[in-house]
Amino acid sequence: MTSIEFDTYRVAVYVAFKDYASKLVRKTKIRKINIQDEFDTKYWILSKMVLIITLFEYNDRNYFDEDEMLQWQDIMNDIMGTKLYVDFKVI
Amino acid sequence: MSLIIDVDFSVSSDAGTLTMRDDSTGWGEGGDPEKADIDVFSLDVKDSDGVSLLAAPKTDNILNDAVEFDAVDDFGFPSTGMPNGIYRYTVTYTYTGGPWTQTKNGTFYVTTQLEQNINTDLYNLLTGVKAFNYNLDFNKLEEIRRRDNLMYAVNVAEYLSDETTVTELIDYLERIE
Repeated sequence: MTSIEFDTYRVAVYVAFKDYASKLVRKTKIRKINIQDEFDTKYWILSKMVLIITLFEYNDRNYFDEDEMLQWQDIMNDIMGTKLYVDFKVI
Repeated sequence: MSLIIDVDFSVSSDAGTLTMRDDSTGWGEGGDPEKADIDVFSLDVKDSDGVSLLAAPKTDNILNDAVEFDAVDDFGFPSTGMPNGIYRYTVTYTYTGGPWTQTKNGTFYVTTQLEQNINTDLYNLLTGVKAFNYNLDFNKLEEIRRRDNLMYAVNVAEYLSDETTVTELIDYLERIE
């Protein structure tokens, strides 16, 4: 994957995140239920994941190895209900 | 035209390497730093007690470049790397073709290990369970979240150059680690 493709991935992550947040807000309005705690918690986790994934700099300031980064993606995709992946090995 | 010294410090994920990046501008033909006739810079780094960490100022010519310092070899820290805390630097640029020298003093902060611990704890918690909504230890999650909020406060205080607040927050974070 080229750096340009990785930038495209980063944009896709943010778009997916925005869609996820919008759906959660609609869920609140339609079902009249309080999902504030769920929203706050997931928002915080997702923000951290998006930050960790999009700031990934190979062989630079990176706290996790390739396998762990893929695990972060899995968790993010699981929470957001998306299938976004990037091949960290060739960035 | 004077030189506008602009340096930035970052620490590697294992806290073993400090990188100083230089983005200084001016003092050259048309303000082009590539053409600045600066021959050498020197750097001194002190800990929060004012003790110089480098046996002698590090000298090199790295205008608009980066230079790395080894936490063990250059600063004498143990193999665990640079401790969390506030560091003060003095960087001086010298032009040997003339009498001009320019110095800048500033601070940078090392919170690498604290940040890594927070991220690793969250990673271990989330990968320990296969689904977010089931079997997740929300008390542990809140504990991590609280530390992360404090870490955010450190970053904000750092941005505002509030040294006292940064020191107090780092101390507090280290106590609850």
